[in-house]
Amino acid sequence: MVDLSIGKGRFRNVLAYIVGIALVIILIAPPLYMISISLKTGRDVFSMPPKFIFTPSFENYKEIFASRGFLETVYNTVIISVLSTLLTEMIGAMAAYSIAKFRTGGRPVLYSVLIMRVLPSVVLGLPLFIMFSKMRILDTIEGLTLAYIGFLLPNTVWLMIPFFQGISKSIEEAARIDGCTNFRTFASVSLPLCRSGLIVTTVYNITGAWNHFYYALTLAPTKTRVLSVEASQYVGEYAVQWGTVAAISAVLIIPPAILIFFIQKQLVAGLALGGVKG
Amino acid sequence: MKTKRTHIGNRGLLAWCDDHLGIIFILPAMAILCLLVIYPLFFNINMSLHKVNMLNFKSSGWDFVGLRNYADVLTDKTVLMSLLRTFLFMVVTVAGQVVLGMVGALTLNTKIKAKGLFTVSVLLPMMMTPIAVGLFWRILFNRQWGLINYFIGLLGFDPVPWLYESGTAFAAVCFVQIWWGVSFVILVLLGGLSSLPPEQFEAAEIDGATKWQSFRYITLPGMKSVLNTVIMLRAIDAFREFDLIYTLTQGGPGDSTRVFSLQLYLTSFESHNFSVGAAEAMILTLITLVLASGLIKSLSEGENG
Repeated sequence: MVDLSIGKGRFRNVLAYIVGIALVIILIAPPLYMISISLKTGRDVFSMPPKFIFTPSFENYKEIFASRGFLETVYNTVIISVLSTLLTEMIGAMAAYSIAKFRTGGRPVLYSVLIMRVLPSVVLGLPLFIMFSKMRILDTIEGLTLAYIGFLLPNTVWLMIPFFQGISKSIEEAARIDGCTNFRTFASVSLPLCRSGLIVTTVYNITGAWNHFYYALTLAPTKTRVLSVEASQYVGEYAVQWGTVAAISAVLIIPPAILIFFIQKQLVAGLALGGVKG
Repeated sequence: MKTKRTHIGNRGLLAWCDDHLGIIFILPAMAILCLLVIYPLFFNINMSLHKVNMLNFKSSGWDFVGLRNYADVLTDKTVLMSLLRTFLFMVVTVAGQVVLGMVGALTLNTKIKAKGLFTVSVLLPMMMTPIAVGLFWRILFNRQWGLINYFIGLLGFDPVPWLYESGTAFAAVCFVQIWWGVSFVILVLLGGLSSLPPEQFEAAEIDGATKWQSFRYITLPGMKSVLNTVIMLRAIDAFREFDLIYTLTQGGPGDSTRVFSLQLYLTSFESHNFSVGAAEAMILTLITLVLASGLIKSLSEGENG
């Protein structure tokens, strides 16, 4: 425990509180201000000093949800996020188990997973664009789902490996002595024990897919529009309509925020386990 | 009888599969990654050695031009400036995130109350879409009605044109990147801090070490591999940052915030100069690989240490 305290008794930790509260204000105030703008109408939006007491109105939200094609955009985003997450979890858990328990490929495979994990989407966007246009899956739900799996998978494998490594050998050996096949041991013993790893990666993947922008911008710009691309277009079209811009930002941010709120403990633990240690 | 035989046959196949489960389990992932990562990468290399544009990209008879695309990229002043700008962006934002992240992590590692509340608020920005982050900082940085200029006005200064002037736009973009990335750094460093052995700090306190001394001689050396890892991860992220800058400034005003990934996007999807875009992508890959090898080095040091 690092001691930042100054003074004695009830004034211990004063410095820690000051820094901590300043940090929270700096990190929380901008998104809260944005949400407050999304609930304002007319002149309230631009009033300075900002009005803290106002009658909230859902006018801006009504406007974006009523705009043409918006519901389809939400539908596309949800379907693509859920599909790519489910497939990535399945394929990723199997690969991570293989690397963690059978040491498939050894270090070279481990490090190539890491390299693929850091390879930018910006690099692969162009070749995928040309490949997809030849395969005629440009601007489709299938195409974008496939592209998303490609960028979610290396991270999922990487994060899940330490969870499988953390399962003690004796439990799996006991299962095998009881006559379980390798597959049975994986399905009924290791996978359930790795539940927190599955939860962490699922949340990572679903928010990652929900938030992803570059592939959506380049591989599905018109017919299969998703929320992140739709929101980015608001900059030009609604330059002065802050209420609508703020509302669509809120629509983008709130679902992942709710998800993360419920599993924050596992997420922090998962980050400590998979985020840094190899 | 018949059913029994097939049963045995199935068992044989199943048993074989079960013995080779390690290989079978990794095959789907390998297939996907070959199709979506490795093949595109080689496709990109091939494209960067030919002349490919909007007119001929669907045909297969591309003219071979050797390294001419690379030569074009590396002699283009706009591209070189954007590379330089990206390095500057990386250095400034990584330094900012690490210093502020350390302060934040040290703060959250003390015995303060309501630690849960602090942790949640630190977690929030990390999970926000860069697109949304860019959108609301655009509002906050607005010249006439933005909240930031309002506070600057309260302090008695003239409003700053933030995103509308080259120098301030670059500073604003760096600031938002730090704001967004510092959460991740805090959380990872917090994990590292809580795993430091408390005995050393107690011993240092008994020996009369100042707080700065115990930070300098116990905390920092103990955190070396965690710090290295987090620096490399954030450096890689800074070098490929696209979403945030795309929404904040789209590279402008002029090309004052046009980082390399944005340059690559514009070459490929606005000018439709696919082969030059591919060459730029390979340069970005190379830089990422150099940074990633640093990451691998610090990770394996962490394993041994």
